Amino acid sequence: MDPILRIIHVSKTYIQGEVITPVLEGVNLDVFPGDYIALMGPSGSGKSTLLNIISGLDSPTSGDVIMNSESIVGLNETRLSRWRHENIGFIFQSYHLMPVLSAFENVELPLLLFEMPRKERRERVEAAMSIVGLDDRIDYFPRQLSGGQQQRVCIARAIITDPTIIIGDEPTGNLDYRSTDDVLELFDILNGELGKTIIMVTHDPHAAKHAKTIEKLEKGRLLNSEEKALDNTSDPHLLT
Amino acid sequence: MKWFHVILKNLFRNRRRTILTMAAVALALFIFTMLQTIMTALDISVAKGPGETRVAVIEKYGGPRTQLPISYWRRLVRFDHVISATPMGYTVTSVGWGDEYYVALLVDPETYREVFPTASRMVTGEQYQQFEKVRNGVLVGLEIMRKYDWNVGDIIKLKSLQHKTTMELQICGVLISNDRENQQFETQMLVNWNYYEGLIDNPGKVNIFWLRLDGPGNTLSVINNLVNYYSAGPYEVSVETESSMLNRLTSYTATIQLIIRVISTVVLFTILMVTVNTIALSTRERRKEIAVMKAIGFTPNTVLWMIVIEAVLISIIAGLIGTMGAYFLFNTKGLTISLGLTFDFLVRPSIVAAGILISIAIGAISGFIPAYNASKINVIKALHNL
Repeated sequence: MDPILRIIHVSKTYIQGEVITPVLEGVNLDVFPGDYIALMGPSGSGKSTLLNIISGLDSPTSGDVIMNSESIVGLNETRLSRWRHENIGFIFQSYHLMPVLSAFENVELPLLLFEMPRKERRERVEAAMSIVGLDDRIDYFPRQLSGGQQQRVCIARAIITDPTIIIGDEPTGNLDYRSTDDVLELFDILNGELGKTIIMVTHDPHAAKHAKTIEKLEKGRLLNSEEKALDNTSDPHLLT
Repeated sequence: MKWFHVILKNLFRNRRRTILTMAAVALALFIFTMLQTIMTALDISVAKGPGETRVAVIEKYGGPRTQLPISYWRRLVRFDHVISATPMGYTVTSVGWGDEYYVALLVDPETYREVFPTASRMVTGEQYQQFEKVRNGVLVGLEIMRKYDWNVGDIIKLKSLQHKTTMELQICGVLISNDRENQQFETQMLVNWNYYEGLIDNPGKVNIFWLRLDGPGNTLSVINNLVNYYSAGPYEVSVETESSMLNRLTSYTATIQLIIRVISTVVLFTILMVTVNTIALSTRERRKEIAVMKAIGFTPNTVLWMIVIEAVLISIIAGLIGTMGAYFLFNTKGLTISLGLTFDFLVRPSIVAAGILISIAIGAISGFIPAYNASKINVIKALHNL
């Protein structure tokens, strides 16, 4: 099976005046359809930078990012926007829903960029809201929803375009224990039953335990298989 | 535009601010429409065709405000190429102590007809004969007749603001203009000069003598003859053709128009700044939302257009309120101001159209800079981290 995403020797260095800060150094990663990857690592290890590069929000200093045989490095902002629209579903830690739009309208937002009849949009939004278990909250505004419910609306928005990869940045970071479990169960359904590919950054071992694979970053490098073997946090089944 | 409802929702996310901005733009456009209407009214008044066969004789140093002796009248008609002469005065009047002011021209009915045949034909022959016959007769412009629901034969009272006196006048006829050039008469009145002179106890004094000449070729020689003749007398005179008088008015109105242009520009520029600030504030407040929109696939151009359209919507709604407000206010209630001539202010559809176009421009310009900045928002920085 061919990978849907290839991160090939990606490095990222930030330069501010005379200060040069290498954040990622020669990162390689292949992501296959149906993968569920948790990216872990201490603060400053480059998790978020790698996620930004994977999602086309940032560009590497060197290396390549190839999705479905097409490099996204060097695409202009407009083409990157369209690429993200078609390939990436975002789930943010702080949900980032539009407060002036209802749950329905928030989920519908990415569909407005397609040439799609209103009826079909409605059907798809209702289906997505049903998957996240909020079909009875469709007309609620974000302020009328709990944190867990808002995150589920965010998940519905992320899956509405049927993206190649769902990207989650600390998706449970702002949630209480019960809501965290609800969201993680939802991720399990998305990956296990619906076959969605998920890459999630998390600090939470409990959340990482739901992933099929854990990739650990340290000082800008992904740990290789030998290093992983020495680090028991890289095996979800060994996490406590 | 499938995302139009998103624009509308953003437009009213802070209702108070949006409404206040709209009110400011509406007020600016109201002022703009009013000023443009005044400017157009001035243009119409000075555009009335000059007649080179008529000259005005006025006191050299004081102009029409300083009066000349009536005895000049008899002498003036004896100059070569002068067909007829008529005295003319004017007074600003009001109906009751209301806020509407009108110019009443004080004329000698018999000779006025000879010098100003067109104006005297604005009433029927029978009505003009009556005006000649009745000492306290008055010819009233059609618009004034309609406004006060007067009829021919009515006795009306007009207050003269200069001499603090009340005229009791009998309406002998209605001045109806059949052409655009004489439209100003529909907001004026012609009062018998003799009657007014007697009323204010100031006999024998005239503001202007109007002369009708036998042809435009002799105008210059007549002017020279008159100036030379009276240069040695107690009252030196200045003689101007009708077009020259109008030119003087033109320079007067040109100054007013310049002031109006400056005020209009300042008003529009100020409101542009207010709108820029509002839109900039509004987009700054939702940097994160814009960043999310960009992250999920909205292109920079789409973001730019959404914000520009939002700004245009604010300004166009306000522009419609301001310009249409002025239109209905002036065109139904009416506004008349006297600046030597009487100006009627009617808002033309072209001014309304200009106001609306300007409001669109205000929205587009004021929205563009914040929209451009928003379209360039760095998603990562705006969200701190993904």
